[in-house]
Amino acid sequence: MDVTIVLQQIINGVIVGSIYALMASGLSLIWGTMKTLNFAHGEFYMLGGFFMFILNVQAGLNPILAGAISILFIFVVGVIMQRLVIHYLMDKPGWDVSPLIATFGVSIFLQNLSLKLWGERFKNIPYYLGGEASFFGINLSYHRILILIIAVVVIFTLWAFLKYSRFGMALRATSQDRDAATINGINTKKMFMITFGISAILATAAAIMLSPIYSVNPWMGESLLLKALAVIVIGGLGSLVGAIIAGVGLGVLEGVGILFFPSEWQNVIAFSILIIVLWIRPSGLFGTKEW
Amino acid sequence: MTNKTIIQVENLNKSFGGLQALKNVNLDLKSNEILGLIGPNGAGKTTLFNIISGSISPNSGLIMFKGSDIKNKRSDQRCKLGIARTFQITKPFQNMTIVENVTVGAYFGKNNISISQARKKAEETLELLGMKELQSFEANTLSIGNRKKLELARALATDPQILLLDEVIGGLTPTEVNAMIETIKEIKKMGISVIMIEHVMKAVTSVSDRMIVLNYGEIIARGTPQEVTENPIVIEAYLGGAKNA
Repeated sequence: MDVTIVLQQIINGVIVGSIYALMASGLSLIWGTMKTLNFAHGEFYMLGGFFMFILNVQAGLNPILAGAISILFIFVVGVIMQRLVIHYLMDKPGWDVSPLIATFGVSIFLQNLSLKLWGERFKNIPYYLGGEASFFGINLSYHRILILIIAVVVIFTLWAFLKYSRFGMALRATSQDRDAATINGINTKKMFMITFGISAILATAAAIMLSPIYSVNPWMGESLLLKALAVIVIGGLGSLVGAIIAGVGLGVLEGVGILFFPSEWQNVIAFSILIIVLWIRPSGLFGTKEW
Repeated sequence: MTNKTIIQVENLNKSFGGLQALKNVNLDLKSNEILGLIGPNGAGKTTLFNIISGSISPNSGLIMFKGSDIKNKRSDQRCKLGIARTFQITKPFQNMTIVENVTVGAYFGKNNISISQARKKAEETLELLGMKELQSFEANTLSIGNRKKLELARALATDPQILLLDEVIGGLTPTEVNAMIETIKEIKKMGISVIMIEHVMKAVTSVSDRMIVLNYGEIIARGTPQEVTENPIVIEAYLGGAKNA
């Protein structure tokens, strides 16, 4: 097989994988802090796509401004969702699974709301950058290169923010022991809201970058959510490093896999890896047994 | 030193389902005082701490901190007012080092300080407790005695005015017990008022200025350590009537 084709697919895989990592790290953040999964995470992504379409295409704002406003809006949506839905369901003895179920409800609600508001016709956003680069016989659109750059910058910023900021320290304390965090002066309720907001930002960043490649529609978040779920389980629930490595790894395997299997088999590859990891290492690649 | 009341609890009631955990509890803590809180298991001691520190709310009653009602304040807000506590079942931040654990207390506690000041405060606090050489170990590697000291260090680092100690002595070796008693006396000298729950009688009687005895959610005796330990009602409740035990 031609080496350039393999190389091309590896690079494509890294790019797609960086978006998986972006989506998965948002889910991972929420699991790490609140020990729940957010099935409406795909709808944050979907809302991000619609906001970008409205602001960039319909209102004609430039992509940077449109992206910034979208991120701000979806951050607020995330915060409100935590405060109105998750907040009331946490800490009820015997109700451990109810926040998770409620996020399913929010997901359905948001899908249908956007169907009602914006209709079912698929919408397109033009590439932010035209043209393509060629090197070593590989062709890569500038837009795809931009996806990778943005994903790396966003993930690195998130990592540095968690590691070095006051908020990051509070968040680490909250995720390791809520009671101890509260008693040491950390407003954990505020932490939970902001965490949801940040998670929503990550999904929005993914949407801003991917929407020009795919299309904007009410159901666009579903398949990516499934991928992101597979990624956080493979990487280890709550592990940010795990989410990043598993995300990129899965992207590359899918990219290379297309050379050997028809593209409809993409999901089969993803979920086969998931099942194998669960067999061999149930806590995921970087997960600890204790959550 | 003035004898101002710093914490006042009035007619506190708390029930869990049908169980009355606290019944008309009244107590006060003066500034620079050590108040010993004893009672059999399940007497409501930790519940009382949970209410004072804001982890749970009472069904009725008043909690006054320096003359103002704090009933509607959250735990983190009470921490910033100067109320700190330790947990009987220790709750370290498992994946942080000792010094990071204590830094969290200093950074988010009563004083608004920078991260480097918080780190310095944490190191000083560890020094005070003789844990300096352990500071870069992860919390999950500690022995039970050092875990309890870590609880104390983290609470102290928040710069509290009152400190609620939930069995910091139980489970320690005899040498550690003596060291801890000295530390608690040291804390009092720093001007911090203390309420301590303790089962180790020798320890609690030797540091307490006053003592209170809880039994089935009610205060059944109060007074100096000597008055309390000689009180027949206390002996009955505590030792189940075996007066010569």
